[in-house]
Amino acid sequence: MIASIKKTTFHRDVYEPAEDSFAVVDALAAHRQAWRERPPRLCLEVGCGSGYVICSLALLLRELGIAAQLLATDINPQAAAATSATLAAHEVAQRVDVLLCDLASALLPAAEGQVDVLVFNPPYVPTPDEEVTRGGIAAAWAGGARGRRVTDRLLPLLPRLLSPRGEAFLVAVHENDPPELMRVMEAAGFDARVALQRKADEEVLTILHFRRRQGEDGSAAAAAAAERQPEEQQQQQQPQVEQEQQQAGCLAASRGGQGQGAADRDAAQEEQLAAPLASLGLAGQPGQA
Amino acid sequence: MLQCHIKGVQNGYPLKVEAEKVETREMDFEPDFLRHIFPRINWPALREAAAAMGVSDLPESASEELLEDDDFLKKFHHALLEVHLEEGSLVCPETGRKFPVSGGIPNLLLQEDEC
Repeated sequence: MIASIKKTTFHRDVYEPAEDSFAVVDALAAHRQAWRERPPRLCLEVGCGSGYVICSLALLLRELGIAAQLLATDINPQAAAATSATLAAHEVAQRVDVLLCDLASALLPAAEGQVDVLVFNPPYVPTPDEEVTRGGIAAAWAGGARGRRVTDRLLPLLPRLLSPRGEAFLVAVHENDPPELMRVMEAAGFDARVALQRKADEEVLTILHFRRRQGEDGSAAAAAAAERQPEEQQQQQQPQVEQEQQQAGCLAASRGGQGQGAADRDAAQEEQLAAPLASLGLAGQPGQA
Repeated sequence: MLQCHIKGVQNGYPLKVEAEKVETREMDFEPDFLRHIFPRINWPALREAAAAMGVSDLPESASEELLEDDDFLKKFHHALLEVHLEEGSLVCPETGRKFPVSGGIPNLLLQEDEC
């Protein structure tokens, strides 16, 4: 269950959900087993645009029976309004607070160490730097040099925002140098992996997944122990990554690798999500919503 | 959880609520969620914000033990999840700068000279 394009609000000044939005939602959907085991309580999307992604996350968590508080920020007033409308159309507005601010600026330090899941689909298109601050719809895609200007402003905030078991999903394209982004986060005390990689029109999309490294600093280890994280989960992690990557491949293949129109997304989503779920062995599992 | 982040402001938290229009929307009562989110709540800030929106039955202080008390949980649930500031302002306690709230969305964008 993810957001429906038909019920998603976007227009001239708000980014229309596209391949990058679908990729991040697919990566979130593929992560549901991990959340079933350790439910997130506070989630934040930075740069929510039409609201398609945060709405899908709200629906996914509801489907899992996880009660969580969600926050969504955008710098564009029309995007914030569009997100509100999209959430209302999907009847999940109650769980999500939308606010207008630059990145997560209004949340620090009050929300320091509180965010369990952070999602960021930044403006990643390489452009001249002056386009980054032009405002309006340009804020949705103009990424400046290497498409990294905005991403590079958010990454240093992750260690502050994320909780001891916190994780982040970040959209990047080839030009953003995903391996370097992974190294940056690894140096900051995170495990980094490619959650999903997909060829779309004219770009190679990568969804990076960062998770605060457990057991390195005392607080993270203590928090993990407090949540009685089963040890086998660590051992199972590797196979799960492989499964998710296979799944990403199968989704990409089913789209024909040619980039798919937003309208087709709604029709195709059920079928596409059903197959990988079965491959994860989730279908019909007790407790599934 | 929001705060004033104007450059140089030291005590920009918590923002004070000035309510013009408050909406109450019922929501499923989920004690488990409340118990998990409680440690992340600044209680005096929630209590003050709720009072500004007309909800004045929260106890002055709250501790983990109260989370076993159904009556307390229901009040906490109502104040945290069911009462929404639709129109009004969030006011910085240090500078008095008002951040407008319109259509339920707080606008915390800063002017160039504030960053």
